[in-house]
Amino acid sequence: MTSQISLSKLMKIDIKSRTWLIVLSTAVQLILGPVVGLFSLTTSVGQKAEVLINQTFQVEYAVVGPLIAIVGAILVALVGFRFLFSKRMMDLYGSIPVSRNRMFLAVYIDSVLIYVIPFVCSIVLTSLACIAKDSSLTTLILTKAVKTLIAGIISFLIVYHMCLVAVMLSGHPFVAITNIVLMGLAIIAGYAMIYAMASVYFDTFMHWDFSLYRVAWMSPIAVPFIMNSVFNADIVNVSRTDLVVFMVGSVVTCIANLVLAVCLYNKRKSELAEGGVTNRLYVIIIRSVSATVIGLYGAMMLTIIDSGVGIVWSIIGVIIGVVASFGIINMILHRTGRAFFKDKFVMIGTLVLTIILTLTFSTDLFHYDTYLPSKESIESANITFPGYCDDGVRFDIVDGKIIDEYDNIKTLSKYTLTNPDRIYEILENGTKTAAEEIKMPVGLFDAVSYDDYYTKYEEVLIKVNLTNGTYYYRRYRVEPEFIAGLDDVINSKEYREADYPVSSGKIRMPDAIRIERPISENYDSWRFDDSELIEMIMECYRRDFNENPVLMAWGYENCIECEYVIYEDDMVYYYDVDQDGRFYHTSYVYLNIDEEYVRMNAIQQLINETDYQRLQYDNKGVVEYLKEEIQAILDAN
Amino acid sequence: MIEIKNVSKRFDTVQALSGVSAKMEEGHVFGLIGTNGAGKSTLMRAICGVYQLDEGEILIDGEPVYNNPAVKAKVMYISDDQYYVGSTPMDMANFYKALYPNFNMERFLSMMEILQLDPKRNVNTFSKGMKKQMSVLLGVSAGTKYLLCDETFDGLDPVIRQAIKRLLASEMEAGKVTPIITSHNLRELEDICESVGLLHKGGILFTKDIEEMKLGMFKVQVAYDSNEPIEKLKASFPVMNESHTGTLYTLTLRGHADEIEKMVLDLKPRFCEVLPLSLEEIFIGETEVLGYDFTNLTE
Repeated sequence: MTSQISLSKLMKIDIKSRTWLIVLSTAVQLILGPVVGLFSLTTSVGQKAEVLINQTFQVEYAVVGPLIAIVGAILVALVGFRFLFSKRMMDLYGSIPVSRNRMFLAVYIDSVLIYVIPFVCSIVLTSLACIAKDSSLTTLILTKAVKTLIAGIISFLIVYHMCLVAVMLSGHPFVAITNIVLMGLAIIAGYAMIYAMASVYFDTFMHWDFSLYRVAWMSPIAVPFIMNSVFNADIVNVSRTDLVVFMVGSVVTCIANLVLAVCLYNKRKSELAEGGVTNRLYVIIIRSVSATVIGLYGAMMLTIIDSGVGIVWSIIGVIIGVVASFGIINMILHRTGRAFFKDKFVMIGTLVLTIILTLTFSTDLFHYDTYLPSKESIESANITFPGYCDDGVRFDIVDGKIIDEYDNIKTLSKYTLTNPDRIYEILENGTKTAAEEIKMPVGLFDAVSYDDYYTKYEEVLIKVNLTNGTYYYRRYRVEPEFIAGLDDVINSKEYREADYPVSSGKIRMPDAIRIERPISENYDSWRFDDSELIEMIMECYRRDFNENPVLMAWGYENCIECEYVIYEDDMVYYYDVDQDGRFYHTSYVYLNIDEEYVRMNAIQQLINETDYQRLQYDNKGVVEYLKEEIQAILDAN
Repeated sequence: MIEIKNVSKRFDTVQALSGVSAKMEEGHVFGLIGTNGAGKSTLMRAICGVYQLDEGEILIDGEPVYNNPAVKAKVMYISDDQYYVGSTPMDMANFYKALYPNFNMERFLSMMEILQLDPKRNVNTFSKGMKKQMSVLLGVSAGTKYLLCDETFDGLDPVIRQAIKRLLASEMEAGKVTPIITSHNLRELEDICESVGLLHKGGILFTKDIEEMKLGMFKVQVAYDSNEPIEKLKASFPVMNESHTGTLYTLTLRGHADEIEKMVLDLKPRFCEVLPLSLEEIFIGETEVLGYDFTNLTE
């Protein structure tokens, strides 16, 4: 007698019972890929093929794709191993002559194929449609297709394997879904919550040098979104180390979860069907971690309503959050309402831990805000004063592209202060102010408004490098009088060149230019897009700057506004599309006209004196007139 | 042979089986009887390898059954509430055919025809009895050495019940299958089973041949001129059941039949008749001794 049915035969039997899932998977994948892609490729008028192809791969796979991978993984896991959730089915599947390993393997392979085959077909058909649209872009299309394929399959597998672990631990589909959510998001939610707590409660918090990418792989539900953005978008602000950690971590998690799922399946008792979760260790860990995160969230919520009421409300928030979440998770995992207060001592322990954690933040238990190292231990400090050069659009322009908007960390790396006395002076002042009662407003009903706060203080962002090789970041608020005493630093040539987001050397020719009149004198401005005129004005600016490289501060008066049209084919949202079908975004850089800038002041004077009617109705004539006059200014200086 | 050795199984706080031991010989129809919640279905599931045991072992032809496909291929389990793969009996038959190499499709279809069951009809439209019939036919067609039937006779009409019994008996006589049957309807088991196991509160009380069991009990209807002989009888043998109408007593006594009969006759009865013992009476008698007695419910 044959001892056991062959794997292929068993797979055939299994797949027959899931035909509806095959149809669903195929339909969704085909609609998502080739159907929508073809619709987009054939109906969009006036757009470049390259843009459309990028759009097809990025919007449809990088945005919706991860969602489909997550839902698909959950569905195939729950449906494939549905017999584990039913006593009737367990009687049948548990008694048939098939070993547990073979049964697992058959269902596992079928489930992967149910998702992956339609997915591969979808990408192949989409690629063919794109190639048909513009065969000259075949290399680009194939690159996109391969990247999407790899990201999609890894994403699916990492979520699927986690779902398998959840399924093996659970006796009911609803319990399994709860476990998927808890396991899939607990770590990343914890990371986000700790980061948020630091931001809200620490007055001087500005940056945590611990990338989300380092923990994201521990939260499989988050992985598909990050994975697709890594593969399909331009990630410029993530270090290579973090990316490697993320990718390796994701693959290791994926494999580890599969091994764990197999072990759990082999040890799983049939009587678990229709029950909750019996693995006590798992319940203790997942319930406590989840309740702690939700407890912190409770503290945050009540603090955000009114931070003035302080610790009491934070603790009330923690109690509500921990007890409610702990009890509800208990009820779900044990599948009975009576389990709300099960494991009371663990609940109390979790509550105490969460309260301590909250107090650590809300009372600054470890003196984060007032930490002051010894002067001898300070090696140097990277420093920036946002109020003195904050143009509201802090960015760099490289090769015509905007990068790193609002990136304080990047700005910090530009200027280093090496005088320990000066650094210590700043730290002393910063920690003294941080110890004061007035804190940065975080609550909706806080007595101190944002305006009060920001008009009273100036900000100093600092990265302190210690002699032992470590460093830390702080955002200190200092009084304006103190800042005035740092004039030698702020007005130094090195600081200005380093700190201003667009240095003169980087400025490329604007696409258009406006020269503002002073507000007090009939404020108005005129836009010129004549390239020759623009070049002449910029030459004046460059010469002025080279002679006197003072800070190019932001302002609405006494400045020239440089307008840049920046094409970004990879980013389709919030951009406009021009007639060639290219996505573009207009950005502006304001260059201050310093009192010492002889040429630029002369140009401004020229514009101020230019007859308004001439500017308004005879622009062409004005351009020629200005060219002559500006050439004269250049020749004279 | 199926050997159950000191088997224990616990579900959370409930001890479903506790140190159960039994032997089920080939070529015999074995009946598993027991009180409600005694663990009959649990034991059946353990025998066919659905449940992993906490203690003890179950050997089928000398090999453990749990997660052992080769042994499981010898056992077919028809549960009390069978799950059906696919939507028609034909789907289910194909499912079993793929799993059990000796599955006889022709026989299954011919038996379905005899019982007037349409193999292509949706199983959900079948009555409970029709589903049971189909399950038994699937089980018999599977060609396994052992056939475990959990409450299989429930919901069958008397004609079909007899037909199914005959089918199982003929299969057994032909040496094709050893049926192991649980049922609350002890009358049904009495007709077909040669030996039974009595389970109570997770423990097995005994496994015996039915005829042998009857030897240990004696049911007699007797009338004496006075109550004195009755009291003497009751003092000499444990009374398992007693009723009387006037001076006519019906007694079920535990003990050797010859000894009881001799004493009954020595006490010179006015009337005496030995009555046949039913399995139900044995069941009630045996479990009553263990306190499974709810006669006070109506008091």
